[in-house]
Amino acid sequence: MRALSELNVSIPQGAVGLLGPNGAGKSTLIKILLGFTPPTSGSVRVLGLDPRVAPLEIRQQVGYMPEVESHIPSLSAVDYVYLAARLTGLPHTDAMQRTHRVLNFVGLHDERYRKVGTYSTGMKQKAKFAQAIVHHPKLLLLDEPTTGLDPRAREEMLMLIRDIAHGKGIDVILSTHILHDVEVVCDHVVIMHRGALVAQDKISNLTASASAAYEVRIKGDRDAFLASLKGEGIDGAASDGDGGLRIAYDRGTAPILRAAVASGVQIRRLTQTHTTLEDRFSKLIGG
Amino acid sequence: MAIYDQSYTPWTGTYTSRAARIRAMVAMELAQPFKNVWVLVSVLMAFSLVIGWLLILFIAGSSQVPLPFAFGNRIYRDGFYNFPTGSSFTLFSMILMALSATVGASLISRDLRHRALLMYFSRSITRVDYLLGKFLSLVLFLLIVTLGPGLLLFIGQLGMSQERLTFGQRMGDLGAITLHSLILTVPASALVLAFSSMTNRTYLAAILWASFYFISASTSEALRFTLRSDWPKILSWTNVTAHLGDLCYAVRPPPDTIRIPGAKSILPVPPAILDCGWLPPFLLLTGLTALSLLVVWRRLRSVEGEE
Repeated sequence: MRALSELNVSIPQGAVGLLGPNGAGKSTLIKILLGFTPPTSGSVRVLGLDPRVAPLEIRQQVGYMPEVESHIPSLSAVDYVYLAARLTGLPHTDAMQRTHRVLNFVGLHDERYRKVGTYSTGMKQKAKFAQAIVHHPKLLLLDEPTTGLDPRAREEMLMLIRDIAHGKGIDVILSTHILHDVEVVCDHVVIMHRGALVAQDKISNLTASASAAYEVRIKGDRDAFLASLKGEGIDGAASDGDGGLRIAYDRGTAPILRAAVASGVQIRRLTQTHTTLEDRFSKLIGG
Repeated sequence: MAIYDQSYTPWTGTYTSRAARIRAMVAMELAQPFKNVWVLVSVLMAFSLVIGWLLILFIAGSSQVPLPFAFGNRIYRDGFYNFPTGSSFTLFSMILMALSATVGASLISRDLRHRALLMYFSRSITRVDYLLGKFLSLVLFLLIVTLGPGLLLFIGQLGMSQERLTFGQRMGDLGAITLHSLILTVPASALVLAFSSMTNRTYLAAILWASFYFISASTSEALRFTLRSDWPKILSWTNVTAHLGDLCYAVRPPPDTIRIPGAKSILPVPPAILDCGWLPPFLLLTGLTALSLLVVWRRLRSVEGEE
């Protein structure tokens, strides 16, 4: 089975959302970036290094928070994060200082001395996040970090990610199928579907490119109204599938109202619409 | 920086070597077993045998009673490592089996169960580093209960023995104790790790190891009885390790300085457990160790791909 094909992507700095439905190849891409799985063809560069040649150097500069639970239940969060720091190459004293600092940062205070196996899902996610940032990576790979969290814990986690991704000198790749998470945290988005790149841009560009539109519901001769719109120089009108019209136009409502008067139709509703990331995503993957 | 400042700050330091990372892993794994009360009890049992001998040595030394079994190195070989239980198994080998099952069986199976390998392999360590860390941590733990009591006995004998030994003989004893401990711990650690890597259920790994230990002995006995030959003795794990262990010690007669009437007949040197020298059992243990480590390595490689 080919998980990724014809994927040519250059991920910019900052907070980038790796978006795609389940099975899009997001996790495979992360595994390739970390050097877990070598690509069968093509080339990969992470921070300028080839994962096939220098996986250890890459892992030293990359933090990884896996989607699944990945911990040692008999260890306390302090021991667990400290071990992660030592395995990355931090000296003992630095590792211990960083451990307490990042556990404090993620909000595990006195609980840090409890065994990770006794933690709630939200606390386990925080411990997992702490081990991913303990060595101050240049790049942080987060694979579905909000999976299984209740709304409050999810917002907390998103705020942590947003915080670390802005002004801390850490670039973040957030792999998820939850669009809200990307909208909250990221500036850029890379959309994947069936192992291929579908779109890549700033979120603001992706949503702005199709945001200028009006939804119109009329009573009267639809064809005459469309003809009048053409007369006003508006070609981008299409049925919205709900009995109304979607008019791609961004220079005010006056020409639409003039077309309505000219064609003798009654306007029952006229609203300006904004394309959300969800609209764009659905359209791009054909959902 | 003020101590109360706990905000996030970048880290800019120098990375340690890979050896230091393996050491950190070993230190973490070594600390874990001592949190288990049953492991502590087993460790104390291993030491209590030696403490018993030290008491006997002290009393005998104080009252000038010569102890033939304490001469030379017999006390290590027959009094400790191969201390008989009246069955096919020596006391020490059973303690060691139980400890390696308790501690070693969980080393990799636990990481498989909780998918901790993802954490390990997303760090800057290789599969070999991981394997080495787990292997060394088990070997070192088992050395604490093999070499540890042996050294304690060595020190006790150094101070309380009535035998006058040369420096070379003393060092020879020390080398023998160390080698014997390594024979007991290194192959067992590799084998337990192999069983641990085969399953994510710790109890299954422990059962596999205990089954191997007991079945090898019973198969050996059954074949000996059926074939009426001694060669199947080499199939027993206990026989092989005990035989090689015995060969570590130079056989020394009781010293002339202390004349004990009939000393040789009091404690004759027992016959060799196997009659095939050192090479076949050595090759067998080395082969099993290498095969076990290969099994673990291949398993880790496949798991890394799956994860």
